[in-house]
This record gives sequence, C-alpha cells and structure tokens, in this order.
Amino acid sequence: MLKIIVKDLLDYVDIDESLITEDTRPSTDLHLNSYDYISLVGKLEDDIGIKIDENELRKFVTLGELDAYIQKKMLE
Amino acid sequence: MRRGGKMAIKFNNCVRCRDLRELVGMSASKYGGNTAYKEIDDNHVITEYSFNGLKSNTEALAAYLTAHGMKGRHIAVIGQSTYSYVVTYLATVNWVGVIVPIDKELTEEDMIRLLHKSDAEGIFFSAALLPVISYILEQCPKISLAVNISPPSEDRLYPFLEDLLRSGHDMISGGETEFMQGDLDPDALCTILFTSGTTGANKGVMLSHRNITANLFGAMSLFLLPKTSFSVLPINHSYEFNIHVLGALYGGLCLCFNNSLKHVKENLCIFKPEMSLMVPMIVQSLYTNIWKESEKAGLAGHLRFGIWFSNLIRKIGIDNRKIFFFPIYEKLGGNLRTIVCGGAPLNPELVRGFDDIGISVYNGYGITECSPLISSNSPLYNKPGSVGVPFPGCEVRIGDPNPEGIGEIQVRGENVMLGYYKDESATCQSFTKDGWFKTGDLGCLKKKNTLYITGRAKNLIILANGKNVHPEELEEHLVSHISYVREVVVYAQVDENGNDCIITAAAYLDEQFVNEVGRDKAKVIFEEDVNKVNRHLASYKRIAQAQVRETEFEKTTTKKIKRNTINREGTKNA
Repeated sequence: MLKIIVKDLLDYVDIDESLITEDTRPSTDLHLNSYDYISLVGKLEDDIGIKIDENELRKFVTLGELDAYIQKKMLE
Repeated sequence: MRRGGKMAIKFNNCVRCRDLRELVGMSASKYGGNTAYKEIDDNHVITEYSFNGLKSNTEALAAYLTAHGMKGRHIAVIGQSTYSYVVTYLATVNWVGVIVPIDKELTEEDMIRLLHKSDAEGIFFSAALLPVISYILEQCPKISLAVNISPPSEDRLYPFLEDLLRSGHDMISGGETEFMQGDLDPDALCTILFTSGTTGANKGVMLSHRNITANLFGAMSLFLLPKTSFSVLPINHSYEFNIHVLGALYGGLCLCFNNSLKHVKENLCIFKPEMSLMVPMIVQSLYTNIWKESEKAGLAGHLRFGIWFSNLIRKIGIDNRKIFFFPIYEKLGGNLRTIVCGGAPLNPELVRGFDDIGISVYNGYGITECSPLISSNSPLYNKPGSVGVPFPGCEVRIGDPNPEGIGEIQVRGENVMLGYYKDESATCQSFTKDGWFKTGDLGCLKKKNTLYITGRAKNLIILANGKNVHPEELEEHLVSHISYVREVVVYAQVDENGNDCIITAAAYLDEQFVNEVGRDKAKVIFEEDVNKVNRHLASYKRIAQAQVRETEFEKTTTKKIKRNTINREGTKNA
C-alpha cells in the first residue's frame, strides 16, 4: 500500500522515491502544504477506492500511520 | 488624514437590493426555474436547485420555525457548503431571526463557547457533527431546536431539514402565512459572524441586511458574473457567502459547491466553471501543479516558449492565449478564466503567471467587519501588487499617514458592521471619533484611488529606542530577494520586561531547495542571505536572527498565518 501512496505523493513533491519511508512526515519532512496534502488524499481515494475521513486524517503524522489506516479501512 | 483622488473607473451599473428578502424574491422572479446551486455527492451524483425552489423552501422553513417559537431567536448553522445551508441561512435572516454561522472545523469546545457567546437557541448542523452533537447540546441547555441539514438517513435522533420543509410547505398550503406579514428592518441585526481569531479572542461581528446588500452591490459593481462559478471556500466565511453565494442570486449565476478539498481539480473538470473565489494557497497550488504536470509530460520547455511567444505577439495586439493554452484550461475544466483571490496577501507573480496563460487573477481586500469587501482588482481595473479600488459607496482613507503616505486603512460606508456583539468596549475602540472603522491594517492610496496593503498595525514591532518596524516590510524584502523562501514571518523576540527586542525572521523554505542542499546547509545559506538583505535596510530594521522552520506556519481556516502563535512556535521549530 505504501508504494501506491509514494507513487501519488511524487506528483506533489520532487524527491528521490527511495528516501520516502513509512516514517516520513508529509508536512514536516516533505513540506506538503495543507491543501496539497488533502488533494493527495483525494487522489489516493480514487486509486484505492475507499473513503478517507478528513477528521481522521488530521491525526496522522507519518505516511506509515496513513498506510495503516488505509489497510484497516480496506479490511472493513 | 489622506483620502484617495477622484475615481476615473466606470463601475458596472447595478441595482441595489433593500434586503436579502428582496434579493431572494428578485432572483426567483428574474431567473425562476434556472439552476441556482449545484451539489455533488461522493458518488459524483449532481443535484440541482432552482431559484424558485430556494424562495419556496426558505419560506417553508420560516413557516415551520415561526410556528415553533423561533421568531426573533438566534440560530446557529454548522456545516459544509450545501444548498441546505443556504436555505437555513436565508430562511432565518429573511423571516425568523439572527443566523450565527460557525466554522465546522472548530473543536466542539470552541463551538460550545461561540454558541454561548452568540446566545444561540437553535442549531442546524450537518451529519459530520453527529458524533459530538449530543455533548454540545448537553453543554448548551438554551438550545431548544437541533436539526440535521444533511440528506435523511436511518439515524433519526434529530429531525432532518427535509422533514421541517415538508411541514412548512404543508403549513403554507394550509394558509399559515402570518409570518410573512410585516416589513423587515434593513438596519436590524441579521447575522453574527465570529472573526477567525488571528489576533486572539473571537469577536462576534454584527451585520445587518443593509451591510450585506451594500457589500453585494459593491462586488457586483466591480464584477460582471459569468454563467457558472465554483465554490471552494468555507461557506461560513463572509467572503464566500456574502459575495459568492449571494452573488449567484443577484446575477442568476449557477454556483457549484465543491464537496471536499480532496476533489477540487476533479470537480473543476465536472462543473466546468468560468470563475471561482479562492485564497492564495489554492491559487499557488494550482499554478505549481500546472508546471509540475507540464514537466512530467516533458512539455515545460514548450510551455515556456509558448508563454514567451504569446506575450510577444500580445504586444502587437494579437491574443492567442485561448488557443495556445487550451490543454491547460482542460485540466481546470476548460472554462476557468477568472479567479478572485482574497483572505491573504497574494504574490503578484502569480497574477502575472496566470495572466500569461489567459487566466485573470484579481486580488481583493476585505475584513469581516466590512461585510467583508473593501476593495478589489477587477476586469475594470487590475493593478498586480495592489488590492484594487474601493467599491462605490465604500469610502477609504488613510489615518495618520507617515511621510510616505502609509497609515491605518479606515473605512466608512453602509458595508461597515453594526458593532461587536455584546462588546461595546471593543466596538468603541474599533471606530474613530468621527465614525470611521479602523481596520488595523496599514496601507496607502495611490493613483486612481488604488489601495496597497503594507502591513498590520497589530503586528507592529516597537523597539526600545522608539523606532517602529513593520514586519511585513521585512517579509516582503525577504520573499522578493530570497527565491527559496516559501513563507516567512518577522517578529520581535520579547525581553524579560515584555519589550520587543531582537528582530527575528522565521522562514519555511522550499522543500526542493532544502532537499538539495540539506537542512543544516540550508540554514547557513538562509542566514547569509538574510545578512545580504540587511545591507539594504535601515540599521534599526535589520534582522538579528534567522530561523528555519521544518513546517509551514499554522493557519486559520481561511489560510491566514496565525501570527499570534509565532513567538512560541517559531523558536520551537527553529
């Protein structure tokens, strides 16, 4: 799942893909602004076919946490 | 005091509505069955609502509410941009009482505080609030009516707006129309809007119908509306509601509500609007995205050449932007040609960059206390770097200007608020003795009455030697001289006596730049560049300390930097 997140993320940031890990923080490490971050989540929804709650989204700090949330949603 | 010179701009001819009841009636009789608003749901199903339907639904809701003891009461509304929100707002202000829009992104504790502060006795909320609504109601015992404005579902703990509308229509059909008797006082309080809190405690701005219709008249004097526009900003904000949502009624425009910031580009392609109101962060992201996509497609060179060539032939009167840049338009729905931008300072380079490809970005200026519009660039007059000209009927003067003509922007006109709710002291402090509203923003008026913002009086740094420094002036120097600075806030660190002492620049740098050189090296380079900028500044204005932040600054929901948190936070992130 992280691979899909990283693939979509690369549309917003110019960074070597190998440097992105589950510990990467989108806002702190990649400096995604709040609007771009939420657009990224919209793109993920389209690619994965699930709905990601905006209120939940604010709680995640790392890509790993976002990844875990998406995986949990997919099992529901 | 200094006032601007005589206007040479010919404004659009507009008819002034007396109040919002007249506006809704006028829109129904003029545009009838045309589509006023469109909504899209998560499954991409679009629902359309007519001007006639809006009038009829506002009356039905008013019939229900007046029959259930809500006449004269304060009613809060919390939710995303939907037709139901508009019906709730207009039914309340036109026939029932006072509407209190509350930001849906606040914490429940903040919502409770504002519900108390505004004396709300009714609450209309969208389904997103369901997990906390019972707690809110427990804490607000004065609230006697709670209504879910989302589409009906199985959870019927609270009545749905649709239920109330059905009852209201039945009541009107049965002849219960007493609520329609009597005139509406255009000067009476009709809405309480809470300021975003960029400068501390929220204050309840009281607006009347006259305030709002004066503002609408002003906006329409500057802009001729197209057929379709896209609503992307929070509907509780006066900039979005008073200009965009009500502008749709005035001009017969179809306003398409975005359902989530997650889907802005997708929804632009679905609704294909000609216009939108935005804030600088969204405008910047759209612009950056245009270049990123062209780079990804290997077409950035072509785009650069196309812009160069287009600008060249424009100089001899040939404008082929519609043809050259059509592929870019398609990514934005195909028709988008006008963006009105407000809420925060806009980089003039963005205005020029979008103009190069045939999209006009007009920067405006307003403040909730002025309903909110004060001035704007427009198709009638566009001066990048300025915030345009005040609209007809809105007077602007510069209070106590310095030798450069810079002073506090003060406003007089029918768009200026009644005052702050239950806060006479704050109301008195916000007006001059001769009745002008003090915006707290600094600026100057230049040729053709063009207004320029230069800073905010509230952010003023007052040094121990009595010298005053405007942080915005230094921020402007830093942003214009250091290309990799994305956001910067200049402030003064405070000594043990509470006096401003060390002028500090806290900056959030371009992520690509930081990645390329590394964070430590980026900080060193930034410090060196700040020192270069210092050489161009008066000695008392020099920046003594440069900090690099790891994150962008915390912002309000309208994307203004929360400056009052910087002293604490700037150091933490440095």
